[in-house]
Amino acid sequence: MSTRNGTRLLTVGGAVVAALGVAAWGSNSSAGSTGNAQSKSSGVKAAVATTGSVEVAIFHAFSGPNAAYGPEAGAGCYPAERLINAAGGILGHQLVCTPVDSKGDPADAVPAANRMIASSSNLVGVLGGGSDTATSVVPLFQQAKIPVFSTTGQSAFDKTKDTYFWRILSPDAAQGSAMAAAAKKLGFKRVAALFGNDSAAQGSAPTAVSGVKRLRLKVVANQTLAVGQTSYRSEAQAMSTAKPQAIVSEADPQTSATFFSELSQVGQVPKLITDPVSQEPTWRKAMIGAIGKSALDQRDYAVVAYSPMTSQAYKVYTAALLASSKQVSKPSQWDADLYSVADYDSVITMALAMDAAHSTKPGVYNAYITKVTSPAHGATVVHTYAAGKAALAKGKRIQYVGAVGPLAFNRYHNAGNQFAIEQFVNGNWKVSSVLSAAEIRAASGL
Amino acid sequence: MSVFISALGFGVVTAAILAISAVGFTLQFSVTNVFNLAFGSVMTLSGFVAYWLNQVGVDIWLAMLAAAICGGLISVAINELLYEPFIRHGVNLFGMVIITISVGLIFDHGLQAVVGPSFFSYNAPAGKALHFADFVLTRQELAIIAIAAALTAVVQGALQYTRLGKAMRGLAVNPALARACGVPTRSVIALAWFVSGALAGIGGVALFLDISTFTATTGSEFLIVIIAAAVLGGVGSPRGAVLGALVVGVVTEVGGAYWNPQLKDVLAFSVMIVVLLVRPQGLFAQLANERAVAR
Amino acid sequence: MSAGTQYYIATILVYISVNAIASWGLDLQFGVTGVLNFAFILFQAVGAYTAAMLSLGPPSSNGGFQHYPFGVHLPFPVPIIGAMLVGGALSGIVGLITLRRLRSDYQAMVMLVVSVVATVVIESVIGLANGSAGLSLIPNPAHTISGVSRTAQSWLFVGICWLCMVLVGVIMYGLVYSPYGRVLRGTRENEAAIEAMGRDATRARMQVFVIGGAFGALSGALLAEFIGAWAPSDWLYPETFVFFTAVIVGGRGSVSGVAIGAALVCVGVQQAVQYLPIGSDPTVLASLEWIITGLLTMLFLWMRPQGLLPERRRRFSIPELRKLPAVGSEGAVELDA
Repeated sequence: MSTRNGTRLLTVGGAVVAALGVAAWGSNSSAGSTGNAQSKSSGVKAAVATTGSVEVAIFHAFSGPNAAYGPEAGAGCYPAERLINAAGGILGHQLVCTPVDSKGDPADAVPAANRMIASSSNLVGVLGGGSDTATSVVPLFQQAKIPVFSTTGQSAFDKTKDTYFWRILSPDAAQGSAMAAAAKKLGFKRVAALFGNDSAAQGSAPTAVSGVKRLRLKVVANQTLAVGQTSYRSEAQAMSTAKPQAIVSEADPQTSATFFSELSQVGQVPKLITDPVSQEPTWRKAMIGAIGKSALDQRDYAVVAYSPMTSQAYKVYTAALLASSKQVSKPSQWDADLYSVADYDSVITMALAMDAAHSTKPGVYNAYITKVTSPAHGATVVHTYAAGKAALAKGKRIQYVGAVGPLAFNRYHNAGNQFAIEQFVNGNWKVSSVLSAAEIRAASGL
Repeated sequence: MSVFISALGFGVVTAAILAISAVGFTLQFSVTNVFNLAFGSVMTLSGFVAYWLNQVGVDIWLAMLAAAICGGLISVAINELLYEPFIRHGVNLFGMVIITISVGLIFDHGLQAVVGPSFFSYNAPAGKALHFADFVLTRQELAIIAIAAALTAVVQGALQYTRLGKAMRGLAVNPALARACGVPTRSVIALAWFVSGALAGIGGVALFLDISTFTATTGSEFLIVIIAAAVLGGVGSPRGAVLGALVVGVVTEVGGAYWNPQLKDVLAFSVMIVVLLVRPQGLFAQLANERAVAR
Repeated sequence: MSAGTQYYIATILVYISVNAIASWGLDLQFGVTGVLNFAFILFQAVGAYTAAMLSLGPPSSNGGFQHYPFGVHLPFPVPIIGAMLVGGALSGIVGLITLRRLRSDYQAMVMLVVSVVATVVIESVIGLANGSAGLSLIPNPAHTISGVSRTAQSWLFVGICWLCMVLVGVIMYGLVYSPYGRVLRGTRENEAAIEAMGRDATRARMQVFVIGGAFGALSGALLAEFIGAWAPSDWLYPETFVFFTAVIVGGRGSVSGVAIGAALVCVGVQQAVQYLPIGSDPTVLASLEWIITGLLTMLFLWMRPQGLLPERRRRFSIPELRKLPAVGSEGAVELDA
């Protein structure tokens, strides 16, 4: 190699080192600033070995298009970790939340899940498997006998035989029917449907559209958006021409923002009937950038799980969330995020089941999950881990009523929720009305 | 009819955004013959520079200018520090394509490691919508169309009439002959990279303004559409790139208005493939033969 | 060894064999013959979807919540053979469109576009392969064997994958180190010379396109049966680049080299990143995987373009050359083996 080449090599080598440096610096700064998941691995793993803590994995996408799922679940796990450990831990064990990246696709999620199961001996539960990966990874957790609390909306799990699968929130199909019922309840006659073609949005789209029709409202437009395009001007124009009073919608943040900013250019943005996605901070941030905060808040009706946000469990959760700023970046952004709240309830439920079972063994405590959540005669209703632990210590039977409300798991381990319509008023989500079971039945036909 | 006219109007907006970047891509390719798939990353990086400036209160149009300079400098730096050494090292045309992909991946994911997987938006009002018969355009969109028209006219004019432009064209047709005729190859190539990067910067900001939210990988995601426009017009021809951008823009929007809008990109890409099959050199380019990498 | 550890090791072994098969398919096209197939991941996807539809049964089965045009429940190994046939056929169609008239840098571009178009179509037309949600509940053939434990079944599937890998490896050796292989390398090195010798370079490209596509489809079929699900997020177009890196790192045109490259790049990098002492922010780790992949490619193209295990080349010394009809060259001349 000539000297000249040597110099070049040095230059390239320098660039390479610089690039690695940027990455390394990025790893530090982003751990501090975005705080998706804290750089607590090595320290925590050491602690695991010495103090005998138990681990709950946050198994979600932290990268790729669904990268918001991970931090969202973290905003549920870390506050629970804080409260459980403050109450003395579970049977003397400290609880630790560990983020694991599923990358949001089955081919990456399967090896990640198997690696996680193999490499941690004290894994007692999993939060995860969103709609993107649940069908591929839930069987692995079932096989490993580790309870998995999933936020997937897929109908595949409505009547699952997997005994280690648990789902607190209603499936997407029920969500779609509730959105249709909300359109009726709010008095709209001319309704449009607007859904992304991603798996999350496509779960609720069919029942939303069929529900609107069943309720004899006029569907003036039914659009599906290919996510992540340069523009949706033609679609926006068609929507504007159809003149709906309200748009029933779910799409990812970028797609929604692009569409609605273009819709606001060609005409008026009507009222929006959305789902829990619109309470996610990334969606709000993108939409506020697109059409403005006041415009969004005047129009957006979110159809979400009904939980009296004034409830004791919810207050305890938000206080713990705000105190978790070390592990959760900008914690206040998540306080109305239904998925975060459901994940919080999942961890508390697992912990109480372990206490009730007197065992942290997943294969043992799994059977106690329904026992600490189902209503029973003489059961003490508790809203926090500390209260539940104390009641169990006195030998009482308990019913945990969580921040999302009561958790009534059926024989397929699906709890399902009541639905309410919420609006963002004065910096908070407020329940404007509750949808009755009859109203949703009228939309779903079931 | 009104649906057609309005779709046509939207197509022009999309075309304007594509054209800025497509002209930049094609200019640099014709001079150096490096198929630079890191172009999208330069767009993103410059777009983020504009974002950071915009966050501290700089007007978005001023930030766009800064993004242009930044994009130009990044582009020159990539060429001087990475591409040039590899070309001198004897890496061939295909090898260079793969190297540009590597560079793009490193840039995108390096940026993502720093800013996280979040969504970002500029703080820039779209302005009032203006109605011209069935056309509906915002002030922002009008400004982007004007910028695109001005930039492509300047680039085309400079190539046609200035000495420097002639030197670039000479380099594009026959590098050895151009060098023999006294064209300062190195500086002309560096200038081509700068102009291309500057156009990437402006195109990036225009794109991010248009789609209103962006991430660390948005530029690369749209690169394929940009290259489709450039290839359709005939790589190496700025006016071809403009025409290609118009075809892609109008086909997507008109197709979206009359046919399944989800498949509008598919329609544009199919047009591109059919055109290439009929006319392998693209609509405008004269050169159908490949050449070695220019140096 | 705990069951968990066994599953993990089995997973790694399955991924190594699947990626080796896929990388060989790309190596035949890119490494040996010089076709830049940026749509390669598409053929893996086609294989995965085909195997899924040939083993899932009709769409109405499994609760009817998945949409796809048709499905049958065929016994192993029919689904993976079907996948190879469909993958090869589709490869042939794409090859017919792109390989005949286009100059080679445009070919690369068109392949990239084809890959993107396929993703958009599958995501938009839900009836084709269940849209973005993808197909799930794909049966694993090893799980149908009763009377043995789940761990034993996992190892059985590892055996199936490695058997396929060995078969494909043998075919690769046969193809690459034969007179036919010389035609392929000639197409890469000097198309005009090959044509002058009466060989059809375009036909050679078409052939490797079909064979490589079939290998890609085989890898996809095995992968889908192993993970039980397959969705568009598994085959986004940048994934193709990982196979290119595997081929470059392993050694273009080298059968054993590419297998090592696949193990190191497609599986090794991803696992190694998890054990690096750089914190555990998953977003940064995922970014780092891509950064390392890009850096590896550049480093190898700079320092060792021939890869870890270079393609075998026969060297003729001067005395041997003197016996041949005179050619005016100095020093040792490299000719392909």
